[in-house]
Amino acid sequence: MIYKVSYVEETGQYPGGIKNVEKRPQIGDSVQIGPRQFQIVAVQEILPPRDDFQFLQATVQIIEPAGVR
Amino acid sequence: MPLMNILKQVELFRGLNALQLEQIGNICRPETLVTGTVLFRQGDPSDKMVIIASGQIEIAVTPPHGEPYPALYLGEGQVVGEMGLIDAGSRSATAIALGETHIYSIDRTDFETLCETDTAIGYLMMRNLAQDLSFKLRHRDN
Repeated sequence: MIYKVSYVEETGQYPGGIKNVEKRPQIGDSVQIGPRQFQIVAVQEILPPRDDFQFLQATVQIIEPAGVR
Repeated sequence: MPLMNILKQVELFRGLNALQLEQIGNICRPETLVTGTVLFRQGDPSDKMVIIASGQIEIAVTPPHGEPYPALYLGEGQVVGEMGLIDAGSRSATAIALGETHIYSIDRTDFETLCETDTAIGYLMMRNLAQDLSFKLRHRDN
């Protein structure tokens, strides 16, 4: 199964991201979106699955600013 | 990872059989981008779409009379620049690589020729493109 995940930052202050992952995201997982690291605080299905794809939204909160750029 | 395995993990190609995926593979051109590489700039003509195999692409928007700001980050399995292939408009944002990013690009001409030559592929690709754009709109609305 492939999980297409829309990552949305809870305050709306940071842009979110979209990517495919092979493991279903769980609350507490950390994820890098752009130059920053976030922690997942909620996961919900936003569309019905199609074939091998599931469509999820993960709400995230910032852990710490990173310095990629 | 072999190209066919990468393509199977991209929603854009959902529903295509092995032979059809091979045809897609024939028009994919691999590229490796280093940090800060500008894939295209807002306002550029749209001549290709890009599939992200690994890494991240920042989508930055410059409002009229404003400063550019990051609007979205796209990672593995996502498609960049597909709008221009559908509506032939100019690029609506600037796309910049964050870190080393591996992509496959598909030229507009190759894409259109394939869709017109094999309408089954054309139907599936257009359906999947529409669903991908819908997903991005849902993301933006949250």
